[in-house]
Amino acid sequence: MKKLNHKIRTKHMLWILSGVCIALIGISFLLPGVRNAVKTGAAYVITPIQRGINHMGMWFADKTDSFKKMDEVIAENERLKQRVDELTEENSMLVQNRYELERLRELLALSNDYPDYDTAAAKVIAKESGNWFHSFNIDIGKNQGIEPDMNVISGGGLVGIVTEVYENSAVVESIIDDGYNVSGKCASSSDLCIVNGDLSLIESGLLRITNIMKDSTVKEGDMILTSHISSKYLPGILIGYVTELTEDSNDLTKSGYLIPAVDFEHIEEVLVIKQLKDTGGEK
Amino acid sequence: MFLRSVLRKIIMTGIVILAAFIQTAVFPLFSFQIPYPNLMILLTSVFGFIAGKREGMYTGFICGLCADLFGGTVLGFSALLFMYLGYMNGMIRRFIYEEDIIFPIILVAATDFAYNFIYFVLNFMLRNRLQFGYYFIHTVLPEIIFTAVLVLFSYKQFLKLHKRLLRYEEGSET
Repeated sequence: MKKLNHKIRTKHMLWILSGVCIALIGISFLLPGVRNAVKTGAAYVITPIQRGINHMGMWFADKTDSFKKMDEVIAENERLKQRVDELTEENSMLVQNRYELERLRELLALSNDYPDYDTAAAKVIAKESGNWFHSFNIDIGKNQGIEPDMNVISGGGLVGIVTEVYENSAVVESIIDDGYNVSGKCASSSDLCIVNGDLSLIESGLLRITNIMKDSTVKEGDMILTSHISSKYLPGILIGYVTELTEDSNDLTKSGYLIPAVDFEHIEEVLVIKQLKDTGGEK
Repeated sequence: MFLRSVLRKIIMTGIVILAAFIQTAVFPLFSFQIPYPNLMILLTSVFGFIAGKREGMYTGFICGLCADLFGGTVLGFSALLFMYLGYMNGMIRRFIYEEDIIFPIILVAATDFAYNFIYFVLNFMLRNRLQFGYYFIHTVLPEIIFTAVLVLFSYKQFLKLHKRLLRYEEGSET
């Protein structure tokens, strides 16, 4: 009975509330002023709360945003660390390559500087006994257009000069031969000097360098090239690098040692520059 | 005595008002673009299903009134609509075992769909906007899904709360 009563009351309530709703709808359409008043009153309560929620929400949103950004930054950092590792490895490889490149460029500088020089490749077919070459034979000669006093280079450095020419071979005297002199020039300061082969230095793989003016700025590590005043050697061919430099007892000149650019111990192939220095004389 | 009997109604009303604030002030913080879940529908449907048509009716009425007051143009229209939706949800209650989670989700989804369909008919179809398929996919379906997901997480809590309040209320009568 109670349940039935309850049911009826619910249904009645439904009708009553439906009536209220319809009345409200009617008021909304027929009496906009009342509706607006109700809405305004409601807004008076609701709006500040909503604004407060919004402020709070924005604050939280900012926080979560910054957390999100933090996550992103951490992830990015992780990625970048990995990248740094990769790049470091790559860089070390590239540095090695660069050194190699620099070395090769230096060796190549010669032919770049004098691209017009026509060269002939030659194999070393014979050599004097001993660890170091003094003079050696190459496999090209007169038939290939080789003439005496032609400069011989290897790997960009001066090896020597052709002294004797045969039909199909030639003899090259190397600059490390004792008593052999080349007029040299410091690449950076253009100071002139003389490079001597010295038998006593052959063991240590050095050449002697003399007659450097005391006031010159030649220093250790400087590049020594063949000089323009040489009667036989074309200018600008790399000879080697200055190592030790000491003042001579005559107080006018300095002298020291030179590391040749060419590895004479392992010389196998050379280039013969098929151009003779034009000294403008006799011939 | 009196306080005990009205406590449940006060708490229900409080939840509805809180939900209305969440609906209107909190959800838009996340995005103005994506559809939000419909908490009013959720509460109307869930309370109707849990507590019966009388409670569903009341909850629907309050939810609709809140919807009208927090937005909307016509006072009383949402109240009427929600009230009947809550009432109908309450009618289904007696056939279904209320501990099951699946049915409330389906019911809320259906209620949400019904509400949106009526809303579409009154606000769009009458203005010759007839592409319900488009609105359904872009507006209605996301809302239904979000709301259903919320039901999944909140239904057990509402059920627990309701039973607790009911026990408290009955305790006052004995």
